[in-house]
Amino acid sequence: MKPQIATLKKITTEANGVKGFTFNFPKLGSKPGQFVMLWLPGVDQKPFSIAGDDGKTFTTVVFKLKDFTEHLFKLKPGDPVGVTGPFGNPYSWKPKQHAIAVGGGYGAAPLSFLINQTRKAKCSYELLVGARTKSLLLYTDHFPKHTFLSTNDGSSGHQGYVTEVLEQRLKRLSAAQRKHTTVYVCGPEPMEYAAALVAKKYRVQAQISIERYMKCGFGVCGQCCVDDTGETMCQVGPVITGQHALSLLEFGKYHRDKSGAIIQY
Amino acid sequence: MSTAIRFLGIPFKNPIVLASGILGVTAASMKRCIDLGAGGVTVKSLSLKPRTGHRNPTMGGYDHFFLNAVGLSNPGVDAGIKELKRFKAICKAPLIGSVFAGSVSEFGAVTKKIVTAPIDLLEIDISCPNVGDEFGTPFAYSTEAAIAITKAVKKQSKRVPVIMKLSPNAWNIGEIARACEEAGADAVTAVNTASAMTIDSAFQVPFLANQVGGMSGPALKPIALKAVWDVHNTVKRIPIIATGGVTTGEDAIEMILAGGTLVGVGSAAFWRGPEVFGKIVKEMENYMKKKQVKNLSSLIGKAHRS
Repeated sequence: MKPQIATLKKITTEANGVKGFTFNFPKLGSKPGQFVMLWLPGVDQKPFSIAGDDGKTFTTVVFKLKDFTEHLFKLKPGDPVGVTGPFGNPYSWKPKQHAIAVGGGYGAAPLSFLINQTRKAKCSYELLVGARTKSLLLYTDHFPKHTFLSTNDGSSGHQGYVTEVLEQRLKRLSAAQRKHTTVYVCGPEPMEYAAALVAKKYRVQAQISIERYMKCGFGVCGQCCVDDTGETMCQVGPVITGQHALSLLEFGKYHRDKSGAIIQY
Repeated sequence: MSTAIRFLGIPFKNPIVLASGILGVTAASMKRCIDLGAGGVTVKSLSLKPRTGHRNPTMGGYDHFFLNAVGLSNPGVDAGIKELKRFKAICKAPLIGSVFAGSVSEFGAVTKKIVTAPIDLLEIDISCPNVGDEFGTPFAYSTEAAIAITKAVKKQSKRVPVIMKLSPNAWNIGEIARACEEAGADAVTAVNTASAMTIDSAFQVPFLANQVGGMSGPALKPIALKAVWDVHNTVKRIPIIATGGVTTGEDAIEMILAGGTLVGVGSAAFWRGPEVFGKIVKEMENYMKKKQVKNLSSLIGKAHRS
């Protein structure tokens, strides 16, 4: 599993402090919900979810924090990175079903990849995007007439939580329609937890992307094992069903850091 | 026919134990290894204080070997004890604690703490090859250091039997094992990973962030087998946990024939998934049926008697 070199093709600005990085990398063969490990020699190696893969390039959308992402933001077109993957269990869908994608913050990025794929399978779809404030909203105009925005401060769209918008959208559906609907969730875990509960309340299937600290990405380090099943989220996840997520002792409550210490949400 | 085996009086349903440092970060992940067929588990090594370990890349998997330099990340022995207690609350299988430290006195201090947890056995990691910048050469390369640490931990270990984990890089591993035995060790694990590295030819740099690391996987097996062979030849009575590159049931049988009583399995999960524990046990059972072996203990060290 040697890293392969990918060269940066372009950088796009997606929101305040959020950029999209598109790399030349033929035949990654990734599916929505999967991730790659990006290696910057001398800096670090980190997992990133995939926001698009057209067979020639793939894109990942990154929120600038520190260390690794700071270095990533300094890259210029033509610069190389090391890539391994794709890893993990992806989102799944059936042809002609209804997809409701619920993204919090930069969690909207892999969901746009998902929507593009479900459209090919003639699914109907809607994208619900939430963030703290307008400048942090992603993908506000990629899917016109299908996108519903929300912000905590009311600066754009519904004032409040994206999960409240989810509930409004689910209420509009008949029981028969709900049977053919799946809610796809990616975002901060407290929001994912709330979304899983809303989906459960309306008896709608849900698929949730679980983020846990990962060192290897391929099921050896054990860093991403969840309580109480001990399953590795790099292989069994990141995408698991809403039912599965709600059965986990730690979902929405706590996770573990780089040392393995428990951190409460 | 039974794969059950006793190690220092403790019954194991089979001799396959999760090796320290792989998957075993939490109670739940260790229980999953048991559910998937392991006879026992070893926790990832704990230190007095929490450690975040090295930057990534910390692990690489290749066709015939696995390389890591995680840097002994762990939440510290106090948080670790909670996981060990939790493991025993949800699982009855034998639990092997594991500690490491940077000095003889610190080994005593961390042992004193961990033996308050409900562990059945305690493995002492004196052979990690990946923290040289911080701690210098592994203690397991020196007979004197191995003796000093064995004595220090035995002073604190109370009821818990102590297993010294040795290095394949010590040319005189047999002599060191014998010295540990004389210093009071109840068992030894042979072996830890072998000092190794890879260089990425595309980027022209060492792949691991720590530059150098420890190698496990199939390429380590013949080296580990020889180490177990040597240790079996030199120790008088203490048993061996044979570890290093075991990926199949046949590998495990070979390790027992060389002198192992228990067999550690770790990075094999990279090639065969977490189900590897059960797969290996099944393959051992098939071997036992074919060879009409009634119990495994009859095979321990048998290759020496040829």
